Amino acid sequence: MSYIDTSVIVAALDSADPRRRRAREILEEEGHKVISELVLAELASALSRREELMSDLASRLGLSRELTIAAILLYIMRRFNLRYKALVSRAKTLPFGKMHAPTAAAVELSGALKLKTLDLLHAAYIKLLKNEGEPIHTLVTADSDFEKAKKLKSILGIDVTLIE
Amino acid sequence: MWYEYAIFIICIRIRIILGEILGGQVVPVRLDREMLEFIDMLVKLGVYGSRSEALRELIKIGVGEFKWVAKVAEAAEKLFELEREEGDIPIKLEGALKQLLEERGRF
Repeated sequence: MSYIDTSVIVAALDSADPRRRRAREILEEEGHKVISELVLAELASALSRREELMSDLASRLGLSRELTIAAILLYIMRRFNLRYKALVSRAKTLPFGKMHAPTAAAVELSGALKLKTLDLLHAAYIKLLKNEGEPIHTLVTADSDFEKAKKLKSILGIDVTLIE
Repeated sequence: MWYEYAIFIICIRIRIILGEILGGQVVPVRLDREMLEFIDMLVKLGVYGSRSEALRELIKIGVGEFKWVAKVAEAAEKLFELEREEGDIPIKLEGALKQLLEERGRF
């Protein structure tokens, strides 16, 4: 099973990027592909700032902007056969108090991985999804920062496939 | 007595048959005690005439709240139609990957 990073989905939809073809090939391949709520949030954010696209699609679909974003997310998930997996673990108690589980996992992983915030959060989601029984063995990404995190593979027990 | 039990079963069957004739169906639902107590309180207050009516009306309200999900699912289907018409995915995010990676790099 592969964890698909937002960057791969965005690359597949970005006609100006040379990684588009490879990203699409990967997304259209058979096999189990999982995404987290963070992927959906990042995608929603990227979509919401495309004024012309959003206005055009909202009008063609006859929906509000909010519902148009939800419809696009659903379409993308179905188009590329991406399975969204919600986390069961929602909160964890750290010395500072209760914390949303992915954020707590990100805090715990930060010292070893030294990643930037969103990459760190993706790593945290992978860790938690694996803990909850998802057999994730690969992180597919177009973000080269994941490759620089030397301990990522050993700590999370995954391979990193970088689309270049 | 056996005949009381038989009458009870016949009544249930009549209710099911009537429900089917009137377009309704019987669905077995397991509820936790807290929820059932709340339903009973609504019945006791006279908001609803029975547990059955209370559940039916509350489900109607819940279904109404989720109608937007059906709209979204229908719109996602329309996006597949647009893809067939245009011959490509109708979501074009030119320059978005560069932007995403730059934004990630800030934090």
